[in-house]
Amino acid sequence: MSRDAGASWSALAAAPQPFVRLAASVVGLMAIDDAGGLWYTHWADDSSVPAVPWQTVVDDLPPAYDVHMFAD
Amino acid sequence: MWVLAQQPTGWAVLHDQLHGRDVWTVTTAAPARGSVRRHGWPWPVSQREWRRQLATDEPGPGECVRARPGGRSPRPGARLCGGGTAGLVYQHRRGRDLDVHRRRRGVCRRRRGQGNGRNYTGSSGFLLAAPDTLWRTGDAGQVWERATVPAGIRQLAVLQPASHIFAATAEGLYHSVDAGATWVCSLAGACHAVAAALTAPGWRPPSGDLVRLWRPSL
Repeated sequence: MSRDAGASWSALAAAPQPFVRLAASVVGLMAIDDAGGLWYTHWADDSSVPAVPWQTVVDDLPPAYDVHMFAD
Repeated sequence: MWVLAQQPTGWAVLHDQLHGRDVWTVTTAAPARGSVRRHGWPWPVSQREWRRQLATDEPGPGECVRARPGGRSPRPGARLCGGGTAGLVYQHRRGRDLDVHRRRRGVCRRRRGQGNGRNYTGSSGFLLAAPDTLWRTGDAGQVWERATVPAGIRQLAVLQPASHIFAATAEGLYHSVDAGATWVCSLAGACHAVAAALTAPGWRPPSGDLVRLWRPSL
């Protein structure tokens, strides 16, 4: 888990590398592909395209992992 | 899959899986007493309170989430406000949907739009996802139409009020900004999980977890 938008992680056997901090007024998005890649990007609130390219946070997640983001 | 909302705040799951071919919704605010055993519902509600809203072609585990804010329920006494793989959830009285979802933790176990302090009252657009179909309604469940997102939906994430909808599918991660009417592939390749969060102006990271990964089998 991460308490700072991925800047640091805990309680994982192999902690993902840090990635950008989630800013205000954005849509943050994470996805896990079937190959075990954890992806991250973000949108501007009023946009329909990512503000930054997709980037991998983890590329070797074990199967069946799920992800949840909290912003409140 | 049946969920009955009882006044004022009680809820009951009648069947915990979407194994039937039809989706029924309750349409009146005041449940009348009576038996519906002939329909197989082990709950003392009136038959008149339920309507068959959607006959699905692909019975199986499903997910229902709110799709967008705005509009008014045609019958203010009851409106669909969300759901999860355990069933649909109806709200009988006006209020903040977010409060309802929190009360229903455990039923709406799939993610929806993350709460961000904004008022969710008035939401009336919904998506219902089955493994090979995505249905959408903009009028609180009165009329449903099939959405065009690729088959193989594994998970949905919906953000309000921005109306961003993301679908993790067998073909990639798809994104819609018009309540599911049209979709664009955002990330190619099969995906099985998606999470989204909308931050408000001036937002600061919370003291608790912001991103959480887990493996249910652990």
